[in-house]
Amino acid sequence: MSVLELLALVFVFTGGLCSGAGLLYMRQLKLSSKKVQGIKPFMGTHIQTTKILSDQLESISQDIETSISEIIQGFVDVGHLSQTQGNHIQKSLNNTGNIEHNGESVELEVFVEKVNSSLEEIIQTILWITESNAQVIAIMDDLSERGERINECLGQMDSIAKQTHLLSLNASIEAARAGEQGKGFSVVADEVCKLSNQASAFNESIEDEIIGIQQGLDEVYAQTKKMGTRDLTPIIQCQETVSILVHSLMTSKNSISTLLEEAGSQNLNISGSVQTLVQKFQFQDRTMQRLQHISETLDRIQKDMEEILVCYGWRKEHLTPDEEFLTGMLSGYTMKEERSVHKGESADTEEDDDILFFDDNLVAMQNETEIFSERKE
Amino acid sequence: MSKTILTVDDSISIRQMVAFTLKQAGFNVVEASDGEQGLQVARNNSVDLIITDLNMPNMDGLQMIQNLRGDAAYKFTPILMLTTESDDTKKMAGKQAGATGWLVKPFNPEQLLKVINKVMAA
Repeated sequence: MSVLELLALVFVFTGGLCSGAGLLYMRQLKLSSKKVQGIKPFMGTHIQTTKILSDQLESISQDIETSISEIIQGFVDVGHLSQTQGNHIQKSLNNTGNIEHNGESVELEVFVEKVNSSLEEIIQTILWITESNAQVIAIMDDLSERGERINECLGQMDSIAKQTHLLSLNASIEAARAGEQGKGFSVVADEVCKLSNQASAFNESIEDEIIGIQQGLDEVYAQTKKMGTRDLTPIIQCQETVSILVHSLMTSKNSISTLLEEAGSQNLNISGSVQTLVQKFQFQDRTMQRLQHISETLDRIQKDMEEILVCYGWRKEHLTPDEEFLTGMLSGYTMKEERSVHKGESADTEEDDDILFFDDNLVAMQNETEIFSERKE
Repeated sequence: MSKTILTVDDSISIRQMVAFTLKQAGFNVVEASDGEQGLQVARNNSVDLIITDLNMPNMDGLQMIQNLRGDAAYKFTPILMLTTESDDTKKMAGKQAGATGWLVKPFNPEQLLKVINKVMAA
């Protein structure tokens, strides 16, 4: 047997074996194909179902994210408002204890102390003036008595002047009677007469001055007495009233401060609660990731099933899904979003039929409203 | 002047929460929704610290960190990973990429601020 004949025998033998195995495989495949033909509709249905489920999960994730984001924004706004309110409260708290005095901000306690000490000073000064008045009145009484005594002295001086005048007259008479020898004495007598007249006139002018002084003193006396006898009760009562006012001002300031402090601490609690609430929404991120992982697995299952189709030489578009199953799924939904996603439409493509009236009049009214809004546009 | 922090996360709510916490603590906050945008924002602003998620579309957190570490301006800037990922291999990958630290979500605001102050002081 030549080499060529041997090679030909090997080829025939191996070829026969291969074709035999191939025929056997083909027969088994045919048998299996018959069996798997039964799962063909399920494949079609569930490839579509996994796709729908994956889309539904994505739609749910987006829905959650949008809503949570809006809620968080709301809380963030509340947080900012709370912070602003807290700042205002703190500002009010800082200002409650202060008062504007001579262009400076003075603590209310210091201001009240100043008012009290000023009032006390005023009262003390008034009391001192009143006491001094009493002393002035006593001095005036003494002065009045002395004035009377001066008047008495002036009366005595007047009578001395008159007697001196009389004496000078008598001396002149006696001098005339003595003749030539009495001439010198007559001159003396005349001078004494003049002196007595002068003394009398001087006396009168002193008396006039003293009367004037006494009249002035009488007026001062009357005025001082009027001041001295003035009732101090209203002034003392005024001090008490101001004291009460200042006290109630302090009390209300303290209660306002307490209220503001409470509001401040409540505000801090609100801020803290808002912060805690905002942080709690982290579940959304975690939930989304978990949903995403499920969705990814569903996508992998879908791809695997598509690979099986390739193995059997089936084309996806030639598969006839179980319409009954898919319709059952569709009728199980309650929300239009679910139906839209199932049909592969975007969630907002469906017309807004959120409001539905069964009363014809109401339906007409609704139509009118729609026309009106169109006109407005 | 207050420090600027960049928060990078594809979740709006996480960005809102992080921004809320940081703004309340007196920081300026800039945001980005993925690594690619994060790179842009970081390069257009002077950022003092970056907080980033790991898994994001377009460019993930690790790639963004690697890119930023190549920039002279961000060679030593603290970058914290804030992610739900708690796998040790991923953590090691974060370290190798150049992350400063790793925080697992959900985050505690006080803890986050404490970590931020710590890495900023270092």
